[in-house]
Amino acid sequence: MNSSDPKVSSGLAIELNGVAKRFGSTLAVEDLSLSVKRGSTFGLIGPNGAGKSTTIKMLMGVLNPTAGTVRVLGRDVGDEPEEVRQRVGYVPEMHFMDRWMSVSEVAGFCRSAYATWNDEICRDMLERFDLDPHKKVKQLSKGMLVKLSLVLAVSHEPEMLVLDEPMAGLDPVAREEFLDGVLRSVCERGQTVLLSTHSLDDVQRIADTVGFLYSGRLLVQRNIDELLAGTKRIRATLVNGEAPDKLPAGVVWQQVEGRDWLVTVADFTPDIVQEIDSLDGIEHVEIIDVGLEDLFKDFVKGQRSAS
Amino acid sequence: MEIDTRSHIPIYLQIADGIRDAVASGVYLPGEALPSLRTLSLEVQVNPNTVQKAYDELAREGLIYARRGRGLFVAEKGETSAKTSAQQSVQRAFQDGIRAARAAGMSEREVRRAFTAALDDSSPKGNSRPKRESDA
Amino acid sequence: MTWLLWREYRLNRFVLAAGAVLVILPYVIAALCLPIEGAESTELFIGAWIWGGFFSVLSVALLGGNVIAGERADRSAEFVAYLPLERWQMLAGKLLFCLTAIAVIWTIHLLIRTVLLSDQPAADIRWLTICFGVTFGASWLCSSLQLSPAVASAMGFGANIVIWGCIAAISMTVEQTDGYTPDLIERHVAHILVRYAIIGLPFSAVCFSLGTWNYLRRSEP
Repeated sequence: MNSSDPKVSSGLAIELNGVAKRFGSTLAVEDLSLSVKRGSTFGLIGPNGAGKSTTIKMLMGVLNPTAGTVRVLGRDVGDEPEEVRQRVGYVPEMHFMDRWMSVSEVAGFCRSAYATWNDEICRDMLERFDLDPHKKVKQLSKGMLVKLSLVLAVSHEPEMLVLDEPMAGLDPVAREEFLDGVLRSVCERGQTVLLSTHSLDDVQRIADTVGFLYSGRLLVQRNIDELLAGTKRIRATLVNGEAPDKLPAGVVWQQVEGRDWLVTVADFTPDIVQEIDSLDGIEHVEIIDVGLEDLFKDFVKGQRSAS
Repeated sequence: MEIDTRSHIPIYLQIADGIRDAVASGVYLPGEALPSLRTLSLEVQVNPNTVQKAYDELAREGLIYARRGRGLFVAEKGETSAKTSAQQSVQRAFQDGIRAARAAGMSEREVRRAFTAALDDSSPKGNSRPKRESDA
Repeated sequence: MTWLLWREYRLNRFVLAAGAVLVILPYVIAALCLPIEGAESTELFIGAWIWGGFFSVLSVALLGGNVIAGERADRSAEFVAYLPLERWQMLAGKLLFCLTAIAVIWTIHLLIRTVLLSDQPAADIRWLTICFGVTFGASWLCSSLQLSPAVASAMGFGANIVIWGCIAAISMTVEQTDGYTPDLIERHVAHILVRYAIIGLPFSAVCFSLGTWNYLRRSEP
């Protein structure tokens, strides 16, 4: 990394500003602004079709945005895609290495492409993952392919790792081995990590910041611990079975079932409880903590009913 | 140490609780070294920054301290401090439970009865009883 | 670059091997037929030349059609796209490989012509050269247009029909067709060769340039 290079600004590993991507008449990504600090681990969560893969393709310079700017590690991806790829380790969801190549041939091919390839890391990791260098790619199981991808991603000592749903469809053992491999790399090199997934378990283990992507829009972007602490559900009894019209600010989602009223509130403060308590027709106000999964579901439900 | 990613409790607090419990029950004695960031991170399968946050929390409480270049160690008063913190979190859990009971409309007598029943169920001699269907 | 060339070779070695066999085979068959009564060596070898030429052109079409579209068909382009390789590097590798292969095929024909058919004006290597240009240019362009390798190769091969159609149309309107003498035929053939060059070479250059430009400007694999 050339820190004296004026084009490289420190601080942000990823900077998306007003990015949009249109495919024909479909808007896959809409007005997306996102920033990831160097050294942090960012979890991009969203259901299938939310635009996660599209966003990652734009980050890697394999797709051009319809609008907005994409900067990775201080460089504009549109101007310098190869420079970006030199410094980013990428693990895809599906693996398209030439199927007739052997493991060592794939590694050799990649070695010739990267300026910072470290053969020792490559050999160590292939051994750790128990990958036979002479086996052909077409003979590898999905778990082995993912591990090979990780080896290739990490062997050139990148500044950032981009993982696009890498653990989808993996058996639990392979999943644990992959996670171990990623964590080892993070422990050793302190890389920035972007993990795109719909597994909330993976996100909580790896990421410190999380972003919810839904229908091409970013609903939330916050530190996970802050999000969990700041979002709460409030349960109350509706005396008349009618929910109040005027809700306090920060309500993400509300649900009425008979006289049972459940409200999810972001940026929770005790004042909000007071506010709700003081509303007419409300009794027995109770605060409930929410896990990440329920939190995400509520944000999505809130978004769906708003649109 | 197992962490529950489905829980609403942030992972770093779960780790801190786990270490506190370990100290309170004598798994780590005062003066002993705690696992390194890397070791614990790989064992629990969690980002090392999260482990760091847990350690920072415990250091703030005075349960552990850092020795330059040598790692993290359990403080001399660690055991008692851990027990105090454990008691505090138990107190918090009781308060949460009572609040929930009140919201459900239970009277003080009902709450006491429920508490005593739960305490009986959990005592050592209670474990030798055959499990009833009503036990969750 | 070495690895890129190696990869291109591995991707296309079947076509190369088959092409080599098919180019030589007609001559082997011709040689085997020599002992047969009534066999005329000149006729046999001209026949072999034509068949050899046909198979060469087919090989060039297959090479050109597969070179860009092949890795899109098996999606290995999506693997290579995420590597820090510049487009022009990949293009240079593909081009170097293809031109080398074509040069080898062309040289084989030149050698055969020099050794076996040096007294035969019909075995004119210029026709083959222009044909290679037309076929490669067209299949290269179609390969870069996201068509399947088979379709790209077919269209590359079929471009020759289009070109010959144009030549036939021009020749029929321009040349007088009554009273053929050997002298007249020779002059017609010379005119057709010139027309072939004038139409075929620019066609090949334009197709090749368009294909190259198309490949370089796309960011998607």
